[in-house]
Amino acid sequence: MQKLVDHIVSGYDDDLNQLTTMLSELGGLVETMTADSVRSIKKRDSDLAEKVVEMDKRANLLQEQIDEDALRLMALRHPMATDLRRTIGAIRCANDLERVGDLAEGIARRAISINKEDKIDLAKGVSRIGKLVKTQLSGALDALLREDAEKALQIWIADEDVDEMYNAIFRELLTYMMGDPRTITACASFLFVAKNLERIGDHATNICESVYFTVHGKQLVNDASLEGQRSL
Amino acid sequence: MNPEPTNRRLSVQDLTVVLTVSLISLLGLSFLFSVPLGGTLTLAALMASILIAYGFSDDKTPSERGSGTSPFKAEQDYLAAQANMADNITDAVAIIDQRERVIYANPAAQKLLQITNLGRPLSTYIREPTVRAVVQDALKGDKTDAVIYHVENPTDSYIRVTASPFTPDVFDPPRPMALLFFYDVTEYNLVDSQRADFLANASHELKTPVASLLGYIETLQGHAKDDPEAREKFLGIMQSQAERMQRLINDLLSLRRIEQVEHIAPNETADLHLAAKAAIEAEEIYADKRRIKMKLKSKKKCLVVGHQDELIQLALNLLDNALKISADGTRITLSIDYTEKWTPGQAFTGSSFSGLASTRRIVPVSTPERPHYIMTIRDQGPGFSREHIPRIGERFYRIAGDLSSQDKGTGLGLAIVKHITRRHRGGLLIQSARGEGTEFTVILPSAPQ
Repeated sequence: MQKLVDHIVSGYDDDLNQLTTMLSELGGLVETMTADSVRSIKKRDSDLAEKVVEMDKRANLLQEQIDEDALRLMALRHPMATDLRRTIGAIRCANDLERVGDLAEGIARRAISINKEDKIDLAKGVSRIGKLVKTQLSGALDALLREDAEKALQIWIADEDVDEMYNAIFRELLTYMMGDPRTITACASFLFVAKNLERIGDHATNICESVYFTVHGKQLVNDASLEGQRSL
Repeated sequence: MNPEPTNRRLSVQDLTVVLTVSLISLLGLSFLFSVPLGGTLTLAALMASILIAYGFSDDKTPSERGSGTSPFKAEQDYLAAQANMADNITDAVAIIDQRERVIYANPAAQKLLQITNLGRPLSTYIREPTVRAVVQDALKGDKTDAVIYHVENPTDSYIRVTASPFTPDVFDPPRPMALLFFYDVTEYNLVDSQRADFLANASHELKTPVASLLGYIETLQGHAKDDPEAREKFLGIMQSQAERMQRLINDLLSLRRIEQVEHIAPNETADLHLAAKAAIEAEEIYADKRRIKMKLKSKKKCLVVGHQDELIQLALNLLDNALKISADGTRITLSIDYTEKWTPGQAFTGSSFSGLASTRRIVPVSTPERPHYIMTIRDQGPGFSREHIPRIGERFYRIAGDLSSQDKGTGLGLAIVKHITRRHRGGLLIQSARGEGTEFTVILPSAPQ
């Protein structure tokens, strides 16, 4: 608890802290976007979906800012070792988070079109995978901001559940479509939503890989000691 | 060497600080936390004493910074000595400096926010944009309203934060800071949705057995009235239906009880070995009837942080599940192992399964630097096919056509197991392969020596 790591130049600390703060802001934003986009389907709330679409602009802006700040930090402060990995990690994670924002925006756009159709009761599976993905994303962000490689590893391993759940939803929707062709439009939309959520899960694992690299200085996927942990 | 802190005498200036802080705290706390006035005063005095202690600069010149000791470290050491009393406040308290860094957090706050290092920005721990907004307002000296934010790890909880501005007079030029109080309001927020869930679950699941009971009663009143053979048969069915309802109600109630306290980790010590033994004793008669052998491999006294009754329930539900999916005449092995340090990759190494097993972490383990006990329950049942694995632990999820749906399952057993493990901040892992069986693993942090 007493451990405090400060650099000699306090401006450097400020820069690194600023990077963390912006990542946290971007993370919080895309977390909200993901949750709200799923909720807009569950509650058939198109207004909420519109808001999510609007939020994506802010996400893009934040990502650009993080990129710029990280570049400036590298140019001016010449970070070494962990600080260098942290800076690179920030760029990589910001990129992933921005993609998460795009995917959530995609879900929100689908929600608007789904909500125009008659109500069919298929949102349950989607909200289940949505909840899981949201938990994964939150966990990945916790690991990122706290630089907790153990936690990152757990989230990384648990991505298998997301994939498995996506496959289950895929099969379920296929069955519906075969049973009643009138549901094809809606089911296809739900398929896209589920796919987007599964992709958000993948970005969460990317973040975990970055965290692992920042902390340990080696790539998670190449770490021999973890062989067989996940069917890759 | 840390620089010796200069002793400050209580001056008029310091008294002003005491008064200012007391006022702020009084205003804020008495409304927000409904703490009795006496407690609030003590709290305010405590905070003031910390601030007096914080009578040094965090803006050292580069030459001072280069003198070999981190200035922040010195502040930290000094604060640690002075804030000894504030550390004992059960509410979570933190101080945020001008750069939005957490410069003080009492143990309650460290635990709540999972803070490991002081001096990091608050946004490391809280991503909620509204929280940052009120902290910034407080740093500007504005009064702020309490905000509630939601966290998902380690459990679903809602936390209310209040940020009060204060500028200790001991600094020249003045240095505005923010005093943060955190308060866990999960109970108030979750209780409504949980009650709704509970009612929905209960009414939906009880509908079927009640309808069938009514059907048999009507038959008994009607044309089966004078047929003793049919009467006996129907009464038997009615009994088993009523028993099923009773099991369901019991399971629903225990699930609800655990859910209500899930965000509060237990702090007492319990014996895992005892829990496993109790579970085996309770199931002995049923297992004997089906010629299933149960074996316990464990040393005596496996002390973990936990609630004894809940651990018995955990072992019992896992064993119950194993018995239900096992065929007659098979074997169930229950073992408890000890490990100095647990890492996420550990549980599935050296497993007895062939390469084809599906695995899942139902509850991920939070990994404190402490030894762990690992309890595994392995059966020789048919194993789950992989599409079911992500949904195990979901309430009322039953695998179609498996033994448990006909026999005595309520579909709640593993949900109860999941919630108990989560409350214990432990881990629950599952590994299963078709034709080989299933293994549940529970990982619990051991009790401090």
